[in-house]
Amino acid sequence: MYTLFIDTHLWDILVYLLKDGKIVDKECVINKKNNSEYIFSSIVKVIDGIKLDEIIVVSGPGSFTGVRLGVTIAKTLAYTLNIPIKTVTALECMAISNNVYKVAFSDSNGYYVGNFNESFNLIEDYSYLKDQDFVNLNTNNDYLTEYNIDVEKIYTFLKNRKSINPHQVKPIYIKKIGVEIDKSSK
Amino acid sequence: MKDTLILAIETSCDETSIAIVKNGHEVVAITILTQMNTHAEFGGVVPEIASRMHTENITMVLEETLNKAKMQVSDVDAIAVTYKPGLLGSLLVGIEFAKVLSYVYHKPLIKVNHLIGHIYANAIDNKLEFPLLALVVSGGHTELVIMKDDYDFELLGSTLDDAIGEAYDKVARILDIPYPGGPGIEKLALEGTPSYNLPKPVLDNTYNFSYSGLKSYIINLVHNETQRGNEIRRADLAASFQATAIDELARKVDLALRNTGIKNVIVAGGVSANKYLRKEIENVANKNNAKLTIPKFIYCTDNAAMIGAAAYPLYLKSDFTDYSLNAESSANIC
Repeated sequence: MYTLFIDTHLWDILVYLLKDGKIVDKECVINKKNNSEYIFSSIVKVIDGIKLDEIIVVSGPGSFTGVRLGVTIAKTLAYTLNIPIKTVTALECMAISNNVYKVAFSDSNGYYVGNFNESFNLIEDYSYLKDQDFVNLNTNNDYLTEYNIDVEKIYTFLKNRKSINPHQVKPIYIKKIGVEIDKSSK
Repeated sequence: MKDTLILAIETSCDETSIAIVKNGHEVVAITILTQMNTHAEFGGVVPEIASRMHTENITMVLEETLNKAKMQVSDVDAIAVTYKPGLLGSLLVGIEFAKVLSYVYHKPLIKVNHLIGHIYANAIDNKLEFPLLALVVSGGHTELVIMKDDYDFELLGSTLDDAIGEAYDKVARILDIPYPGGPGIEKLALEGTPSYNLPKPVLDNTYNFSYSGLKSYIINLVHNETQRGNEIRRADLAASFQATAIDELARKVDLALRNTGIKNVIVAGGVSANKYLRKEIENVANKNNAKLTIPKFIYCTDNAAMIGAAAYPLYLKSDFTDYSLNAESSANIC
């Protein structure tokens, strides 16, 4: 049983191939700003000649374009290959991989923040905070802010998660864009 | 000869469109999902929202197109996709989607210039006859191009500043016409007469155009009249603007037809949906005994069928691309 794991939520392209939950191949391109020239080529390097059974995609939050391209590729692969697809957020990945409940990461303008309970269920909605607001929140240094993930642990955790119809798969963005801010302030 | 089927994808702006085109001429099936109502709320296309909607909808647009055609992706011979010009985020969704289809179904990938797509909208249900004169009129372009053969372009002239579609949008804004402004001006102009005396753009005998002077004149006129408390006759001003802008296009097309002796003229780009323009260019073509081709309304605005039509000559030349394909925001025809 082959699982493809795709994570393009920030500036790195992380592609893993798992066989029965164990990593058998990977392709990581670091700090390419998710350039369209590299993402799909990296995926092809890992899946060529493999009959995939399942896809896991990191649905965000992070770089809008990065997340969008990873999700577009993942849902199109799942749709055309007619295989199940599951989504996981970047903040869930951090929490599950490191067995912690308070996680955050920076997109160099601010911080995406997630708070989970012991079962890794969200206890409040994800938020996006300005740098200083996050520093104030994290005065006790109780947030994990380094993005290190353990794909095998994530795979195991997601075993009980239901797959989604590929048409319904969409990124999560969290951070508001200009027109949304204008609209809410009216 | 065996039929060639191309599955084409267009996501350069705010339409998610997928079509299957046979031999570059016949549209087997097409789906165009427009986001216009969403963007109208913001008074114009919001690039980030456009990209998001492409990602949400693109697999469903594919499914609908395949259902209409009663086909599978495996039935087609190639995948074609718009890669320039347009909104980068939106283009990239279509490009990555196309790469996956090309990979999964082992089909060659063809990259298509959206502007050339607009020209080839004229090849749908029709055969392009060369040499031809193409008038390309859109939000970003105003150009006169000679084509001696497929993909053989020679630029005669272009706008020195604003594109005609851009001038339409700006004038619509000053007249409080909601997005999309072009069709709005056209509609309002029908209720008025061209009674405002507006400056004519570039009265020279080159093939170039200029619309920023006309646009600025109208903006100043509206500001001055409003400040003086005078009423603006909106319909008359819309009619005057339209007549001035399009008469200049027609004059340059006339000049080009007379000077080159070319007997085929085509109109391409979003503004070719404008009825006043269609009528004016028709008059010029008749006067010069030239054959005029204008796409059907559905193929004037952004659509994937024109991308499939423009991909066909590239397919015949095996002009294929690979997974390193990236989007480009700006482009010219030649």
